[in-house]
Amino acid sequence: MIFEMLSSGAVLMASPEVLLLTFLGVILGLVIGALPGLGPLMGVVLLLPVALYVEPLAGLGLLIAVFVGGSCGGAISAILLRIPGTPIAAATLFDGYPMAQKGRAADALGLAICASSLGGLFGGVLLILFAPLLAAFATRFGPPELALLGVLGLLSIAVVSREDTTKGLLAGMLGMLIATIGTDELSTGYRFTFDSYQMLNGFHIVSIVVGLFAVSEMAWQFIGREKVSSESPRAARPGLRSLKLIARHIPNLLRSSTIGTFFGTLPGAGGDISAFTSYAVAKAVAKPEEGYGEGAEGGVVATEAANNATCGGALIPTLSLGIPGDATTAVLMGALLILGLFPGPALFADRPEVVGGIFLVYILANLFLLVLGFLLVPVFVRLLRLPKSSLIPTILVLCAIGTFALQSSVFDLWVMFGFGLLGILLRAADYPLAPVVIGTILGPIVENNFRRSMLISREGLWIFTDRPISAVLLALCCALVALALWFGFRGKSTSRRA
Amino acid sequence: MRLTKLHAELAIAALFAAVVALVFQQTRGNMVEQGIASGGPYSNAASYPEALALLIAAVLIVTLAPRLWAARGHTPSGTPLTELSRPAAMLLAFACYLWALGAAGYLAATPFFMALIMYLAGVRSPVQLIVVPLAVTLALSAVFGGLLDVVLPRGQFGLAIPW
Repeated sequence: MIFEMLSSGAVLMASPEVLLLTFLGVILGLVIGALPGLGPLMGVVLLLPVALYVEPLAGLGLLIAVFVGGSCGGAISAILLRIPGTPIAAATLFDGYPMAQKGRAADALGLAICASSLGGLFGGVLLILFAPLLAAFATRFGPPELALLGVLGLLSIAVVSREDTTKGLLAGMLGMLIATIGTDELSTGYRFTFDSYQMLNGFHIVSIVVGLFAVSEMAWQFIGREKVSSESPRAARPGLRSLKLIARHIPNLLRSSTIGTFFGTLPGAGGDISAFTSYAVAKAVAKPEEGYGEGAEGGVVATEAANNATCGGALIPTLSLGIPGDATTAVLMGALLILGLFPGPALFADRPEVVGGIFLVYILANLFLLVLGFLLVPVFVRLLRLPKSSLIPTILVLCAIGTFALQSSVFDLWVMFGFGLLGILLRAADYPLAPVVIGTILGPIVENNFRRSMLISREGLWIFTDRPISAVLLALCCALVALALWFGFRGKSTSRRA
Repeated sequence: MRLTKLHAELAIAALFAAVVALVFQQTRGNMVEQGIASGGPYSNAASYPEALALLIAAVLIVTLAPRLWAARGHTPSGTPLTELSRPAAMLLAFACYLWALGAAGYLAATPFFMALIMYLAGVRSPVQLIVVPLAVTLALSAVFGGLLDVVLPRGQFGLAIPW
């Protein structure tokens, strides 16, 4: 089955458009990842409208390649400027920056690129092996299981991703409410449309994502809270010597990639948690003379292998169950839905060539990363000097015309602006933004499957406990709710003590 | 006057409360009129948003409200209002740009908007304020209009580059 999937996917992937956009995606991802304040999520958000204008696999190749490149690009500024371009590269500066200070910037960059690419490939192999197995298992799922799976995905994101679980839950529920705006799929009645024909289909997911993440981020950067370095990045060109260096760290690479892939499969865990965990494990296993925190090669390898392997891991539940692993894969899932491709077991059964193509573009993006990373690092170093005064207006214009391009709708522009304001307020109050988007995507899955469950049930809500898989999922949901409440009350008592 | 995290948290809590009220106003009003607020799971489209609204209200009351109450006496240093004038000006300029896209079109509105944001960001060089906006406007027009066949807003003047 896997072989057939990959061979049919290879035919799709062999198109020049797919290859070119995957290639460009890695370059853009590296650039966006390297620029402090941006990151793979921002890259995927900004290029989402572009991806919807080309062939489905080419568009997905572009977004996946941005995800892969962006996850590695943050290491460039972390190593050279001591500013992680993205939060997932924060652990890289522990040893990457000291290496650069000791005159080994080229080695640190070379190791980061090799580890990212090889970690990503490792995650890709696990993606190819496990996603079809999980999808095959998920064919047993009916409406009750799908409804609970959606709830479980959202709960785990709220509980795992942030310390403040209450805010995560509230943000997720807000997203689920936003998803109810428009025409109800079952009754065909209008909900919260206020007699506006433009709201009959609800808000476009791209307008929501661009507003929440990109517009609010630009406003936030305008306040001047972003970290600014007065340092000028030093010139560095990694060489083939890095391949020799990485060969000394194979056990560390494999261990960190496994940790990264595992954390990727957990909704909400994400690249930053996996990078810090694998760094801690590598440091615990290492000999004291390796000098972790003072420029150890193993530290760079552990964090970079883990955060790129997370990409492959995050795609496993996204593709096989329709449960996004993090905000970036939620946006990727949004792209799949807009393109008429519904992630889950049905995608594997009905469109195996697309799934195979997605697997292959992910692998290809990691191979491109290895080559382009080495060749273009000096260019990316120069880009670190790009002034924010030019970058911010460019991104805002890109937000506007990218959103407009979707449906040539001015209404979408105002929706984007409105969600930008909401994003600013949520950021100011320290609410996580990802649960809003994930709630918006998972909301219709939860609602429609819950109502279908009620339709087929003869015993009301007991349908959720009568079926073994749904009972297990329900128990997991209850455990997460208990955990969330415990975290909520603990937060309350902590604030009282403060 | 300073804006603190507590102010933002209170604003968000008020927003959530308003959302809950709006949900019930709609489910008990407009949805009843449409006949989709009662019956079985197929026809009742109101019960799910109502359930979500109740959950939001419960979480607000049980966990967030006491925390906000407890934090009211410990106001940490926040952001001075004067510091927020730049992002506020940026958002106002962005709102004007979105309106201008429909009225004047992409080609006419974008260079002015970019130059204004760059000026707000501290750029004072006339060359930069002219060259960068024009270059970015043309480059994005080439990518979206030329490569992706997107019809960019032309406005009342019908301005467009035939790529």
